[in-house]
Amino acid sequence: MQGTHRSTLLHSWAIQRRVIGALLIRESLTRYGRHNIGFLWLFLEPMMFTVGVTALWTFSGAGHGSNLPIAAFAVTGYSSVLLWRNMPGRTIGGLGPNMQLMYHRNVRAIDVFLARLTLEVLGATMSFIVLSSLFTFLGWMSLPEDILKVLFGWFMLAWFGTALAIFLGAVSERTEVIEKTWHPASYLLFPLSGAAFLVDALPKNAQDIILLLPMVHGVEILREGYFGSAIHAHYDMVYMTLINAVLTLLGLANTRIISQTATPK
Amino acid sequence: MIEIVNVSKHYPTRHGEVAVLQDLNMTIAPGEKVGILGNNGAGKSTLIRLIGGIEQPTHGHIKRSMSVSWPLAFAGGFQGRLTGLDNLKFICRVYGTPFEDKIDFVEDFAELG
Repeated sequence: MQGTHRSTLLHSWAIQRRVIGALLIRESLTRYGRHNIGFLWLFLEPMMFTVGVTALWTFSGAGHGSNLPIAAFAVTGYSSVLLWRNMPGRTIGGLGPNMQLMYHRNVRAIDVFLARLTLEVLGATMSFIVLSSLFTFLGWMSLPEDILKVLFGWFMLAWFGTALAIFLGAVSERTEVIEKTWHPASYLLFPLSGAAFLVDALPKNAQDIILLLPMVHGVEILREGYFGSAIHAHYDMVYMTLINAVLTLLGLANTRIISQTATPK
Repeated sequence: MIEIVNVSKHYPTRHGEVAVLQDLNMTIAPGEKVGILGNNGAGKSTLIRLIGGIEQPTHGHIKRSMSVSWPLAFAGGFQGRLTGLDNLKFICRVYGTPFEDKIDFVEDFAELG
C-alpha cells in the first residue's frame, strides 16, 4: 500500500484480508446470485463434471493400465484436472469485470485474482471430498491409505493451479495471445496430465517426457496416497515445488507490472 | 496531509510518450479546499486519480497522512452487476467499517435495491 501511513506488514495484511473477503462475497454474488441454489453451484458444477467423466469412463471401459476400480481412478484424476485447468480460466481476462472496483486503492489486481482462485479451490475441494465420500459409502472405492499424502498432493496441485493462474492472468492483461491459446493448450494438456493414466503403464521413454509436466507429479502422489501399494507411483516433489515456486514468482512479478499499468478508465 | 512530491505522469501513445504532469509539487492540509482549473487534457482528472491512488505516478510519489476518499463523481467505484445495497456493503467491507448504520444514511438520499 504505497502512501497511507507507511503501513506495517501486519496492517497491510489486515487490509488485504478485508479486501479479499469483500471480493469473495462480491464474486459469489455476481456469479451465483441469491436465487435457486445460489452458492451451492460452487461445488455442484465441478461435481457434475466429475460424475459425467466417471460415468463415461465406466461405460466405455476406458483402459488406464491398472486394475484399480474405474470410479476411484476417475475421481482422483478428474478432480485434480479441475484444480489446474479451471483456475486460469477465472483469471485470464478476470480483471476486466472488476476494473471499476480498483477505484478503491486498496483493491489491487492480486486481490481480485486471489478472491477468484479461493472460490475455485473451495469448489474443487468440496466436490472432491463429497464425491470421494459418496463413492466410498457406495463401496466403489475404499478409504485412502495415507490421507496426509492425499492432502499433500492436493495442496501441491492447488498451488500449481494458483501460481499458473496468477501468471497467465497477469500476462493476459498485456497480450491477448494468452486468452487465445489457453483454451487449446488446456484441452491438449488434459490427456497428458496424468488424470487418465498411470505413469507406470507408459513405456520408459514416454515416462521421462510426461514427467516434465508438473501436474503429473501431483496426481501421482495423490493416487499413491489413495491406493498405496496397489500402484507404483512416479513423482519428484522437489521438481514440482521448484516449478511451482518459479511460477509463483513470475506470477507475482507480472501482477506487479500490470498493477502499474492496468487502471480503470 | 496530502503531499505531492516531484510527481510526473507520462502516458504512452502511438506518437510516443506524452507528459501530462511534470514535476508537480503541492501540499494539501486537512480541511483545505482546493479547486483545479484547466483546459481539456490539462491533467485535472489525472491528478485526482493519482491522489486517489488508482494510478501510480511515473516519477515522484504521493504521501497520504489523512483519510483520502476514492475519486468520486467518476464512473468508477461501483460494480454494475451488484445492487445498490450490495455495493454499499462491498465498500464498507473494503474500508473495514460496519454497514448497518450506513444503510439508513444512504437510504435517505438514494433508493437501494
